[in-house]
Amino acid sequence: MSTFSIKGSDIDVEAVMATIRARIEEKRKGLYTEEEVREIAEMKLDSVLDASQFNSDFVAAFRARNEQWNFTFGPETIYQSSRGFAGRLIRLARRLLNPVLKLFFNPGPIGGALERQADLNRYYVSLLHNMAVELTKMNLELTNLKARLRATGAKVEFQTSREKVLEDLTVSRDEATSGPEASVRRRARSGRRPWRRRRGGRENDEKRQAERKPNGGNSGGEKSG
Amino acid sequence: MAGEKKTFPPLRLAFVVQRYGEEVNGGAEYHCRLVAEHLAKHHRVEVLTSCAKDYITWHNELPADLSVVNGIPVRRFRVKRPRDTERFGRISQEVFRAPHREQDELRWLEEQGPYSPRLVRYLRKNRDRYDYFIFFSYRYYHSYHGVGALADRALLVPTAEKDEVVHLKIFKPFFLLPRAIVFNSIEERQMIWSVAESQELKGEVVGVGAEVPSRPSPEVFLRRHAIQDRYAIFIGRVDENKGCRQLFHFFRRYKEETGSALRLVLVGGKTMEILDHPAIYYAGFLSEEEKWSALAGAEFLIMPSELESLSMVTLEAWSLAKPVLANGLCDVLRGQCRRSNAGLYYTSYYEFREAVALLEEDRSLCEGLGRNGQRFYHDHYRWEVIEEKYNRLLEMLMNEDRAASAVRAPAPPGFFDRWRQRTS
Repeated sequence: MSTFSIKGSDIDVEAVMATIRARIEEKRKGLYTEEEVREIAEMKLDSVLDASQFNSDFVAAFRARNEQWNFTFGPETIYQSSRGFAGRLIRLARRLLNPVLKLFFNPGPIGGALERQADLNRYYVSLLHNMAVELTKMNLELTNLKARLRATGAKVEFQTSREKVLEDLTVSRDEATSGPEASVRRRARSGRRPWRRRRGGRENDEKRQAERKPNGGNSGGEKSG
Repeated sequence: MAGEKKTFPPLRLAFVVQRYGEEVNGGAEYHCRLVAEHLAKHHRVEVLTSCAKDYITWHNELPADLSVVNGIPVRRFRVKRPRDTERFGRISQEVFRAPHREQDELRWLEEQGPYSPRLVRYLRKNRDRYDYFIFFSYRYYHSYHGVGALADRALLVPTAEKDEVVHLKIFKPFFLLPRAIVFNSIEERQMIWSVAESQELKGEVVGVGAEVPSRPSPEVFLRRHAIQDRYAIFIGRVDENKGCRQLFHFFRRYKEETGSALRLVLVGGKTMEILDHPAIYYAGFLSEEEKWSALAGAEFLIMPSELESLSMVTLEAWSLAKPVLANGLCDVLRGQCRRSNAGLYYTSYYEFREAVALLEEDRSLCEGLGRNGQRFYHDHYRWEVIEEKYNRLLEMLMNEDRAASAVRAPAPPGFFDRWRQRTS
């Protein structure tokens, strides 16, 4: 069988549709009109009402057990009896007497209304369930957002304290650099940094000290001699 | 592919459909008539149908006899009882909205109509008069019981839409019965595969062609209807189920928001009130010739229906190199637009607005889409291609039947043969 795909000339419908969607998005970046807001709200509600989108087993199970929670009402219900064979006779008798009953009142509209009510019950159950699902989703999203907010808050707090420390440090450095003994201190500090020891530790320091001395630096020997 | 010629002898084909005739304008029925008339060039074709003309009441309006429509013999059978709308409504509620049994679904099938047991009896009795039976529309009584009775000779053209009927329990095993299924689109095949839970169903995506006139002249239509502005066109039944209400509202809003001079022309019968707006023009039900003229004069075709198994009017628009704006909620139309690169689609008003504006303003886009559509139609939906696909399918079935009959063991010897063998 031939596959139905033509990549005709230079037009790609998918690309055109993507452009259309991008144009819509672009326009939506601005303010929504009242009507648009209402329409979006309706769209949202539509999706909530559409049970198939949630693919929930709950609704299916609930619907399958319809007769347990809902009443079924058909045109034959008013004649029914649950007494087996006798019930069948009763049902027949009721049907035969139906014209007599109709002399007093018309049961038709009552049956229709009850049938409709049963449908409505089923619909409300679906609706409530879908709203519950939507609410649960919202709750989950809210919890998630709360957690993210807490984490962001902690980060901001940490950054604030870090910023404060760095500011203090900068201030103290500025004070130190602007004082009269600044150059002396700088020279003294240039030998080694107090907050970081180089590899080799004390041995290296001693070697460096020895190199600075003109006699080759056997300070230990001098001391011992 | 299209150039291949039929190499097997003519077959006796029976087309079984719910209604038939030139005055019947339903999609599946028109589809059936076109295919029957085209296959009649290669085979001996007969149509078996009901006496009904109305697809809601199924009243017997035509005589139950053998007549000829465009050279095709048509055998009509009486509908036993017309549809009781109240009863049908009640059973529909039960079947689609409440737990129910298969028996209820079969009752629904009968109540839906056309309930014609005579037609099914005729099929059973005369199975040997025809080589193959081609059933149209899976959802009717004649197809369900006819395919059930003649599964080994049945081809089914389901014309299935993505609605709740296809998910009835009775149809799951039903789709496994026919020898082959003639699908209208890839999406329809996908849906039926998923309903039948089988991808082993034999068949092919075929569709239907269009009777494209050689030179449709828009001037005649424009003059007669005094139309001077550019217009988009909708062709089909103006019906709520076809998405017309939404189309009217979208179009009115588009006009209000953009101030465009585009008009909307509606062609076809109507079952609903048409929105009163100066830019919306209802041309009514037109002859084939005038319909093609109207289409030829349009900027593009709008197809707002959400439920389509194959939109013939979309193919007709493409055959004239007209682009299409389709309802994107319909899988088939969306798929066709994507595969052909010949149409845009919308799923909301905003997409509708942008797509219409684009088609109205960008002539090169319009022409490019139209060209793609024409090529797509030419490659897949020309009648030569359609006939070839049907013939290939029939030839395959015939070869299978021949192979099966060759393999079949010879009949066991009868009494006299055995007696002769014993005495000799």
